[in-house]
Amino acid sequence: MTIKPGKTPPPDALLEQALEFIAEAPKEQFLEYLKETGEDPRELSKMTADAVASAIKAFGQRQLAVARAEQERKLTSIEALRARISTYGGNVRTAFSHMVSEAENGGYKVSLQHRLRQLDDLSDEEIKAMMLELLVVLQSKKDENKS
Amino acid sequence: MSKDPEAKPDETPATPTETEIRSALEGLRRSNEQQQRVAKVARLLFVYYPILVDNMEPEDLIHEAVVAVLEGRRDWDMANVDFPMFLIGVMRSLAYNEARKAHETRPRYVRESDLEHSESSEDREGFLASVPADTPSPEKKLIKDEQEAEEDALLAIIQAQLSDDLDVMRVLELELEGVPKREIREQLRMEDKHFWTIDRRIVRTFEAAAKRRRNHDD
Repeated sequence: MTIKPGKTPPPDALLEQALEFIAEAPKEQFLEYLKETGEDPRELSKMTADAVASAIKAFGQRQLAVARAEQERKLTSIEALRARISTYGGNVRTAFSHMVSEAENGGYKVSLQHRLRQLDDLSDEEIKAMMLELLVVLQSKKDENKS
Repeated sequence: MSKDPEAKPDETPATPTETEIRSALEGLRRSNEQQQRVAKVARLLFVYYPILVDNMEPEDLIHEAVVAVLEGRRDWDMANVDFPMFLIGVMRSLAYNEARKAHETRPRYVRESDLEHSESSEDREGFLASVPADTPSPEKKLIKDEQEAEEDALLAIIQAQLSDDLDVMRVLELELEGVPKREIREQLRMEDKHFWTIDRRIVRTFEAAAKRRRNHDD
């Protein structure tokens, strides 16, 4: 038998046909084939069930590792923002108002809650906490835009 | 196992969600028969690509295929292909790629006397200088020739063992041409049961011949 250029080599073509038989043959034909080839159906079932279970577990573990890495990245980022806030000298109220204006000029909508707060009633620590909150939100918006 | 063969495939099949994939895996978990079919495919692929045993077991192939599907590395046209058939396709593709990689990395001893040189040894330097970079080396050519000879031998053995039945030979001829089973049945006007019995014999003979080739290579 000659093989035309670009055609599947005969053994590969037979492999494809064999796979199709295994996938699609009527149940009685498939079971007869298992018997003829000396396979134990229970052993085959267990093999697939175990492999699927271990694959689902491995996938879950990988997802967890990715989620942990992401969480780690966010915490590191928050720490960096906190460090940045601690470098603000002078009046934190002015710095905060400036930060809100910058965010609005950058096209972000800052809630009225932030703008209308009576900043004088808040302690420096409370304002720093609000600054951190605002920076984290802005950072996550930037991340979203990147992805 | 396949869905309506007349159905036209969607131009842009929807990507299945992780929930849909997990639901399909749950369906596989509940069906002993489908599990047996998937496992048998894994074993047959290891018979056909014996080099796979260097790095993995048949169950690893199923494991890797499921992980690839869950991670969305393989597109499943779920409207037209049933999940077990899709998973079998993924396993086949992974097995082919792994076997190719293993062949490329496995060290292989080739006797100098088996290599084909078109020039005498005195002219070797000049011969090498004139060889274009993409010309297969004598070692690669020898390995390729051996593989083709093995494939021819495998096919000859299968044909010899099935030659006592004309119907079987007609089905085999069309299968080698890559004609889908449904078309073969229609073309030869065969009853389903008769066709599948013939096909079973062809598959069994193919598997036995591939096993003998594997054992001979060992």
